[in-house]
Amino acid sequence: MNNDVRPSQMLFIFMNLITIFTHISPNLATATVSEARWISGLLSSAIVLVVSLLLVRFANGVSYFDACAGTKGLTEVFASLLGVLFVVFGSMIFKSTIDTTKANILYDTPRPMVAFILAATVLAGAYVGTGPVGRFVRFIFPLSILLFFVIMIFSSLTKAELTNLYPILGSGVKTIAKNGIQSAISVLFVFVLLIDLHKQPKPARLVVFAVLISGFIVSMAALAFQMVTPPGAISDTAFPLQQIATLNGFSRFFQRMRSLFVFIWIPTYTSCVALCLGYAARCLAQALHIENPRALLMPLLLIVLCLGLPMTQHSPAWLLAIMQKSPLYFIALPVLLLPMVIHKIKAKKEAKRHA
Amino acid sequence: MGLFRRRFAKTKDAATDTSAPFSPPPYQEAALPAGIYAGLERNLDLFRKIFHSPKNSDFIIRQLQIGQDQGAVCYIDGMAGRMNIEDMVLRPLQEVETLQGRPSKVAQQVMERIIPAGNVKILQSTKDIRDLILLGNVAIFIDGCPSAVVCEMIAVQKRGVEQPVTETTVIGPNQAFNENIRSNISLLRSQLKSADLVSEMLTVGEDSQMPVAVMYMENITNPSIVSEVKRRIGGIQKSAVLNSGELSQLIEDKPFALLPQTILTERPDRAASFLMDGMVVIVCDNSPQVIGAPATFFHLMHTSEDSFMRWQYGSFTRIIRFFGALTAMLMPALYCALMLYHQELLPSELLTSLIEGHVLVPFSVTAELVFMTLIFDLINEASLRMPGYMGSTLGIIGALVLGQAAVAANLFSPALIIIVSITGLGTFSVPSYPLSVALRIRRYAFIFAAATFGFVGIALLLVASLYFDCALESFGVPVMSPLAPNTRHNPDIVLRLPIFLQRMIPGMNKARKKNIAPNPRGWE
Repeated sequence: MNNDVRPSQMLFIFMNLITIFTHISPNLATATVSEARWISGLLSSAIVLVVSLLLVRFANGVSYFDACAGTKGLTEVFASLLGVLFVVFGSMIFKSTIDTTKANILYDTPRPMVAFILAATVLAGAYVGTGPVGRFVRFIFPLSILLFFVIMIFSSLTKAELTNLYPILGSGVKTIAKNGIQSAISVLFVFVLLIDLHKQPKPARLVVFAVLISGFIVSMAALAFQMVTPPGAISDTAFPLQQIATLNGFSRFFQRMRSLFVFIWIPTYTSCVALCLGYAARCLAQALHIENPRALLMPLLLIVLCLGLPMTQHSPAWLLAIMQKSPLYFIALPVLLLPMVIHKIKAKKEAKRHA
Repeated sequence: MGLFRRRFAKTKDAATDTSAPFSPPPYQEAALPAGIYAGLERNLDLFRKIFHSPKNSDFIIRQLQIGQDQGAVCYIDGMAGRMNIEDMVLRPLQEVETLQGRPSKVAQQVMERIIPAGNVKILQSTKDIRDLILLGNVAIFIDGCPSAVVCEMIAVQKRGVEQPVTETTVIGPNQAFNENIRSNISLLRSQLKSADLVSEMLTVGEDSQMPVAVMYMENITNPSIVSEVKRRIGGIQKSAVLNSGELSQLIEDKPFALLPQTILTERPDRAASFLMDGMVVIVCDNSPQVIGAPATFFHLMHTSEDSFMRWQYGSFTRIIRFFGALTAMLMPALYCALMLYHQELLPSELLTSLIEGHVLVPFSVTAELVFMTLIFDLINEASLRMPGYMGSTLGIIGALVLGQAAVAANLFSPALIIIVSITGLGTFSVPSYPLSVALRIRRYAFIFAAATFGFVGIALLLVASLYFDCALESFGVPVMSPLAPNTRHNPDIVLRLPIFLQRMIPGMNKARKKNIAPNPRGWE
């Protein structure tokens, strides 16, 4: 059994990571981010999604690594570019994981200690390979969705009132649509768990599936939110779980939400970082001509720790700035298409010659 | 040194070549001559040396006149039946008037005309003759003949077919394997009366010479799995392999992993279902359990009874079992995390009651939990080793230690007794004993993680352990399949849906056949 995810999936995972990471932190979708930033974030995500779909389209059964190998003198450039991107994304997600863990659960635990225990799990995932991590997320995806609904029902069961549905119907289409999109984005991170889905090479179908499921989750959450919120007491928070927790009016209830939610976001976040680390090791091993990518795991983890650990403030604005203004982000992403395009042209020429 | 190098090189080649047919390790027969001699005395001297006779009193040589020639019968007393030897070998041989033809052809005549046994062979190889004598066969040597007549007279005392001990069911057959390999193979054949059921005989262990039957369905099982199983068994270089438990440890993929990678069963119907799923069943002599490979985690959670009952009942009991497994592994850790870090999840009344119960206990919650779990494991282990008639005594001790006395002495809080008892029930609901031990070991790690970081610790350890479980393979098949990775399977993993929907052979074994039941309810 191959210990890596199938090559065509690799790019799709990458696509998922980029798209999902843009919205991975619940705080990005909350009121702390201004509307202009929120819209620009959404647009940039749409661009990334299109580029990523193109990547998968060009891949068509060919791995990025094979495509890089076909570019002769530029192999190292393309491979290392993707590797660096993975390291950057891994660091960001890792930082976000540390922040969220520290802010919500382990308040009194020193930051290096939180980083250490998360790093240990991430290293375990990166060591066993991207294949087993893919199998793992495939395994826990239905369980996470189930847990999500259990938490939602559990939290809203006691306070539901049908009369509370009036405000959502009376607030106008624009508000409903905006809230709906914000909410949908905030739960998209769950779909990183779909990376090992069967028949992966059809990404369009997966995107449709992801949107449908997230729409279902969000509409259920919105419904529950409205049913338990007294008229006139709607908060601006968009994240469904946060809504449900806040609406109950008890800080203790909010605490309950966060405690149980650990079992969804810890596997998701750690798997994201483990996948980033695993693929970064593979890319850089190709660039540096190292036979065993595992040899790079420890140095890469150290880099991820160094980038993620010192930033003590959880700052969504900073993360958005990195994602939207960093030249690396906007220049590097389209460059990734090049080896795939070169490979495709070569393959066509080869086919013509044979014909 | 050169000899060592040659042997090492040969072994390495055999290990890397999966397509190579089974060949026992060369060092076993290194000291033996390839074929036996023509002279009777030389042969007898050779076998006396092999079996350390006369020091070894079990090795019997009975010399006699066969027609005009001198001959001898060799066997191991007890392994071969004495009455059978007298009636079917010695008497017919002594009644022979003459044997015609050259001495080299005499063995053929003995086999064809004189010995009335069913399984008789003519062999020249010293090693083959030695191995068959060890299994309870009788070897007949004739002066001037360079081959021996070997007839099967095995009469080792074994148990009869009894009820299963560890895999009892309320509904369904109650036959279990015993220690006799022949009997076990026949039990399996009585379940699957198919000409495609193949059993290949091998031997394991230089000294133990344990016969092993590798059984599979020729028309279903993936040949690469069969050849891999034979390669691993053939590559075992150990002087004594005594039972299926030892053998399964020697052939599994990752010996340092906590989860078992093969499945042991004592039920012929279960073994037959493995064969129909494209698995290989390894039957060992002296073992009342057979090995099924490749095995997945879900095989370890299923029982025969699941398919005997209607699907609603089977599904319900299976859900209870999965819940029990989770309880066995996580319940004490969750209690620890709730008490130490996440009190907000508990209703106020319950939290007050728990804290009040713990006030007089001199230990911390973690220490209390570890002590109590250890005591429970101690009682569990002692009850396994204790004779049945002392079971009631153990029950009294357990009730005293785990029950009222411990609470009255303020050693443990009452809630903890309930937690450990539920955990124990969860452990017993796991059908595979090796898996339940693995879960018990993990339980301690989870308690430690919960005591240190609460739910975060439990979640992180759960993720890390599942990473390793997902990376685990059994003969090339991922242990968490068919769910992770998702491969073709019947609706029979967590839920056991109607039997008529189970039409295919699971895809993870890459079986030769894909469907076994195109239309199970053909009458409709």
